[in-house]
Amino acid sequence: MKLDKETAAMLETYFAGDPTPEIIEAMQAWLRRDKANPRLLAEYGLIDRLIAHEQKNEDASAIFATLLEAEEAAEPIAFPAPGTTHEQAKPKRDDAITFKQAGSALSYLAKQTLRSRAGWMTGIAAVLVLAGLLAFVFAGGNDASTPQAPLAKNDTPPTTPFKATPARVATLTATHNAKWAPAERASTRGPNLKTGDTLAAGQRLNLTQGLAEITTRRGAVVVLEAPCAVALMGDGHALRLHTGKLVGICETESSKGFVVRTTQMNITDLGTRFGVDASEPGRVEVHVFAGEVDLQQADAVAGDNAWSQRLFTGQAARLVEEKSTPSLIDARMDRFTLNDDFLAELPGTGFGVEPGQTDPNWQIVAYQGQPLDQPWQPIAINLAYGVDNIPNHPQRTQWLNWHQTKRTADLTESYVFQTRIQLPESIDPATARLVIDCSTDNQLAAIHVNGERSPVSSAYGGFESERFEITEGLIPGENTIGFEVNNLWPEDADDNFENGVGLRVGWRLHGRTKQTD
Amino acid sequence: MSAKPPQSDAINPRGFAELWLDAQHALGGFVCVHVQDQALADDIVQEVARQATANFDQYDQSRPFIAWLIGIARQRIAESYRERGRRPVVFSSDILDSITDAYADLQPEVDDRLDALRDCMDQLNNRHRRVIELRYARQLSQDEIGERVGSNGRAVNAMLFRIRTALRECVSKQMEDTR
Repeated sequence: MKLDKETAAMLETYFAGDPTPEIIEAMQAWLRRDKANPRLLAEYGLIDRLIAHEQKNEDASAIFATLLEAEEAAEPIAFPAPGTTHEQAKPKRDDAITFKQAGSALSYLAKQTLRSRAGWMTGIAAVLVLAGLLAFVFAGGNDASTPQAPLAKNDTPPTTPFKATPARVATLTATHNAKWAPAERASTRGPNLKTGDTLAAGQRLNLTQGLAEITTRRGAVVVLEAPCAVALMGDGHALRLHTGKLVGICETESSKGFVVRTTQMNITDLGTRFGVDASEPGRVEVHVFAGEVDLQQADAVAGDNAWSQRLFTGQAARLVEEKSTPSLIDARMDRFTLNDDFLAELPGTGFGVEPGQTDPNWQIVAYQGQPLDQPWQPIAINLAYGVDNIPNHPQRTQWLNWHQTKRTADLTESYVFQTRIQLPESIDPATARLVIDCSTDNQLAAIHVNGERSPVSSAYGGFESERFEITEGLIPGENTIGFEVNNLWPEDADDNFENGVGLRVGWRLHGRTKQTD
Repeated sequence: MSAKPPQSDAINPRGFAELWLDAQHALGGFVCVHVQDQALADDIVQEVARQATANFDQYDQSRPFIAWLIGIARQRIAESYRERGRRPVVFSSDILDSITDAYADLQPEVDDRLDALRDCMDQLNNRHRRVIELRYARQLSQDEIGERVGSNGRAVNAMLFRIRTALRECVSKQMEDTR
């Protein structure tokens, strides 16, 4: 059925969200007009749902990864013989699906999933949903004292091992001057890859020139920099980096948990931007531009004493030998080529220091508009107010405070908190943008950029976060940034009242990399 | 979530599993008609699954399972509007019944429609694929998508509707061709 213009306009408005009562009224009239119309609306809803299903594969990654890695390792997954209990049926691999926890419904679903091509994605998603749901229905399923029901007789095991059709798990979303090596498998497109192509689980990509951006089903963005060889793993939420450099960008909730595997360590994103360099044999480096990542010793060499480490914004680690632990090094964002939207989270106030300690990266350099001969060192403190806006996190940002305040005649004081940031040479300064989430006790009066004072409009008593953006005055290399904070005294304060002045800043640097060709 | 003891007499988990697999996309479609936020739609579907699992012993097997699920979903959708302080998008009861019937009719075709959709999505041009990916995989807002593709939120909304319309028509045509 083709839509007339009026109906199309009405449906478009309706599906845009927040329909007005008039639109709802029009929809009701349309739905009553023809019996075919409810069906038409239902088809739109179904299309919406199926597109979403195709695009984001929900939370099936764990089982996908297990199934596909088992396939990759040529370990066929066979179902247990009839009469086998769930405990007996539990696969021997430590990371395999635990049928015991899932219950017979999950066992059934898993089998259906593996049998049915059409149900392969659907079923796995359902398995995971039901795994959570049925856990409480079958409470005690993990209890050894609870008898395990045998599998039903008609849970007949398949006669052939499971063999998955490679799923399309990612899309090649952008390229720049890219050239690819010939495909190693006839089933992949190799040198003919182009933007918009979907990529299959297990597909190996060998970029010999230029840049390429991949976006996985769950929204992780990976920028490959030639020469670089990678392979997509599992449901595309993991990628093996054989050699070369890449940048991972995982900013959506669904993209968290993206894993880059190398021969020596696995890097798990916790919502971040990070770079991995495996260009040189026997050496892997991880640089965190924003957020956090977990590093773990690679499966192949991990034992009882396997190490793991978490890296935060501005940190980097290098691993030079398989049996050694990584060493911390300075993060070097300029060593990686990002896509056109550079972003780095900058160390905020109180970064890396414990509450009660002075922050060596910040100073109070002026009081009442006059420069101080000896700058004051503010102290990191753990304050409760405003935490709903910027998490008070020693590895990101926390409040800085200065307690030695003086009461002035007009009950107003001003202080300038100052620090220095670096604008990488690789970033075009004309596109640089500093996005600041700022909380002040009591009020932000101005921001100073390399000595230039810009008054700002800030709410008094601004314990809550306010956002400011700086787009002018930034220069390549070192920049001096100051925050001029007013402190106001209560009218009824006595002489013993302590009135600290505080500042908390969390900030990010945006910009575009300079064009080189 | 509180634990419940096993209710092996009342609950047939295998029956539920089969029924859920068959009905989940149709249920999701019903929710998507009323909730445009994908994450919220997912939450509602999950909540319906939770309630349905817990109350499966109350399911009247003489009725279509999808109709029972949609009955739960209708309550949950209304609650979600209340929780968010939003004006509920409520069609009258007879219309909701007719939409429910439509989903009961569509349910047996869902797997075929999913196959057809995959083929139809392969026919989209790169820009449209990009918009779909930004909307459904990365769950960006219309304005955010506009920034990425050099457009504005309103134009993106129109484009998304055109893409959905094209995909719906393509899927319907493929379904007709195979009959």
